[in-house]
Amino acid sequence: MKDQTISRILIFFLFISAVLVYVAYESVRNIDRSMASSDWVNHTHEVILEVNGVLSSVRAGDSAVHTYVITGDPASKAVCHEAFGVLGGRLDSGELGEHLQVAEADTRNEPAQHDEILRLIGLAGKRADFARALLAAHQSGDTGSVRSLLAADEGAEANREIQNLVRKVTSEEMALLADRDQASYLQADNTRKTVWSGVVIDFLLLGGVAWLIRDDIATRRRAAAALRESNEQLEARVLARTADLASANEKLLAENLERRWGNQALEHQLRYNHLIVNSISDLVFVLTKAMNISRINPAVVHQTGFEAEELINRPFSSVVQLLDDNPGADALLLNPGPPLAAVVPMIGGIMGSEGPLIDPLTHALSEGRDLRDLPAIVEDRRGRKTAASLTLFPLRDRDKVVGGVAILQVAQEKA
Amino acid sequence: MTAGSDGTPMKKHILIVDDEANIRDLLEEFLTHNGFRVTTVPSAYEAQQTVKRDAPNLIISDLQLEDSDGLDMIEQLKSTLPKTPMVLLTGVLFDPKVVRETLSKKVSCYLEKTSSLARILHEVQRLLAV
Amino acid sequence: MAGRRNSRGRRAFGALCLALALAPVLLRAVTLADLLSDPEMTPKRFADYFENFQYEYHEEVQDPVVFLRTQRGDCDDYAILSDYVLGRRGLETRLVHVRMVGQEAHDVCYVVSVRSYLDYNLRAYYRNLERSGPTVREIATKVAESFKSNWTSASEYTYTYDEGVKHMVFTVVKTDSPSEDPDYPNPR
Repeated sequence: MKDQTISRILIFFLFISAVLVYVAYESVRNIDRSMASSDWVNHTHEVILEVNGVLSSVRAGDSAVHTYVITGDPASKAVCHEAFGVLGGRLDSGELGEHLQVAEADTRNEPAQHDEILRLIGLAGKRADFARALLAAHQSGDTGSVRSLLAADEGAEANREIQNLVRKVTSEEMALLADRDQASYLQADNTRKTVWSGVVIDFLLLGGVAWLIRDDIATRRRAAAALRESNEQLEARVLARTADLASANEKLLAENLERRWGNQALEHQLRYNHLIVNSISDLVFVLTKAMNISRINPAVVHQTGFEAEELINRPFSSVVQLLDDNPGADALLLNPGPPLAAVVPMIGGIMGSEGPLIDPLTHALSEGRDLRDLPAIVEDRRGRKTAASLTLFPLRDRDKVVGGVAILQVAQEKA
Repeated sequence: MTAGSDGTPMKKHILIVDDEANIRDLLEEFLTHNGFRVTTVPSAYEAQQTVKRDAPNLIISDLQLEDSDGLDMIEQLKSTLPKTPMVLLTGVLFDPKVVRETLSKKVSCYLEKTSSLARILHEVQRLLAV
Repeated sequence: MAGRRNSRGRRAFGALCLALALAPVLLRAVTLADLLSDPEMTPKRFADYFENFQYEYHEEVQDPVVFLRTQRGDCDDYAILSDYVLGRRGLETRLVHVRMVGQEAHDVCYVVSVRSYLDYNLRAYYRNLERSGPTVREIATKVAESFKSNWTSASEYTYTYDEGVKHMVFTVVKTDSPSEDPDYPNPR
């Protein structure tokens, strides 16, 4: 759309320029024509002046020579020379000579008038010749020939002829002048019309250009407005999206904080529970239903020398064994005496049989019963055994027994 | 943001007393994000110093502090700031009966550390709006 | 003592008389003889002599001696004198008579070697020679221009002081095309 408008505008401008150039050219040409025309006017006036000058020079010279031969006044002779110039030879001097030459030159391109001028030259020449003859006769003192010359001369006739010719030339030149003037007038008129038409056309074209430009500008404005509007809409959407993101971000942050807070609360609880358990100086074992050790407290480590990783998932019986209702065993318990190494075989023997020694614990757990203060033996990593009192609590998770907690109170050795 | 009656730009100042650094940091982050000015101290002694220097609009304290018992500190501070709300925020779980009978008389509010941050904020805003 | 004073006074008086006697000689106007005998005569130099001359219309051509003595004259007095003097110095000169609309006709002397003409109207200026092409048409155009006028026709002529008459040699007409001019094809 844009390009089309521009090319249209360019075409318009081209036309405007062409019209402008043509108008300017025509105007300049008309100025030249006007100049030429005025030259013709001047030229025509000159022809008229010169031919009339011929007439007056001939008359002046003629009368001067007549006066001179009668009066002998040198002043008259001077006037004659002034008028006729150098007598004899070409008619190229004096007033007559000049007038004739100029008139001849001026009419070179006007054949009819030129012929007439040539006739005029002939006639004027005759008068000059007559004057010369008269002067020569007078000079020689030959009054007889002077008189006969005067008598034979048809001066008046000749002068009239010259006068008529001059008038003829004059009127013909005036007619020519009228023609030329009219031609120049029409030219001027034509040019005026051309110039004004050109100006009107140019203004119309300019109007067209203005309309095209206005049209184009209106279209551009609309496009710009539409663009602005879509930009605004876009910005609004962006703002909304940013706001959404910001609030989503806020939510995430809040959730994050909440989670971290929750974690620390849990950790706190966990730590506290640990602390509670760890602060108990009795041996605490957490057992699975299969009677394996799942957790111990520091007191166990302290007593047995086993680290937690060595005991986890090991059977409880590897560290702690129940003593059955064997009086011998009781006696052992009550009587500290020598190390229990002596009784190992016996205990081993007891342990060998899958006796009811381990059973009571499993049994109690499966039934969900406590077992309190049962005599037991704790064996440390060096194999030394210590007597202890075992209490077992079933570990319930929502009324289901999932394991047990065994607490052993170690008997104090009387040193 | 607490509702200032004439829209005062001054943020409310909350003092947090707890010996655990991550508790202090979490609470500070949370409360600052919600438009409060927060000061955190690890001990009762420093709490007292802060109160003298820059009296808070509300105090949140743990029960177990390294140099004192939270309740004792609160008792002492009450004499300096009788009108300031004091919140006990503790990880130690008490029997609701104990809470009702003993603690609620000594503190404006009792909160467990297992409460959500949202709940804590709600209580803080409620106490500061009065 | 008195004698010496006297002789000094006499010497001063003598000097004064001599100065007065010589004054006409020293202050006299240029003569025709001066012009003809000046060894360094050039068109410009010739024109410079006329700087302080005045304009006075004379229908006839003046006697050069009178013209130079009175220092008053018109265009043809000047042009014809230039033609006379410079012609005798061996320079090719042309006398041109230009007829204009509503004006007195004007005469100038064209010097071919310097491609300029001498114009009495320019006598008081530093630039007293006007450059022009050699044809009568070109000269007439320039002359008319200086009058801010239009010319109609122009003629080359000759004149001798002895005869005292202008002889028209040929005439150029403005409305003719230049190729018809008698002195075509000389335009440069």
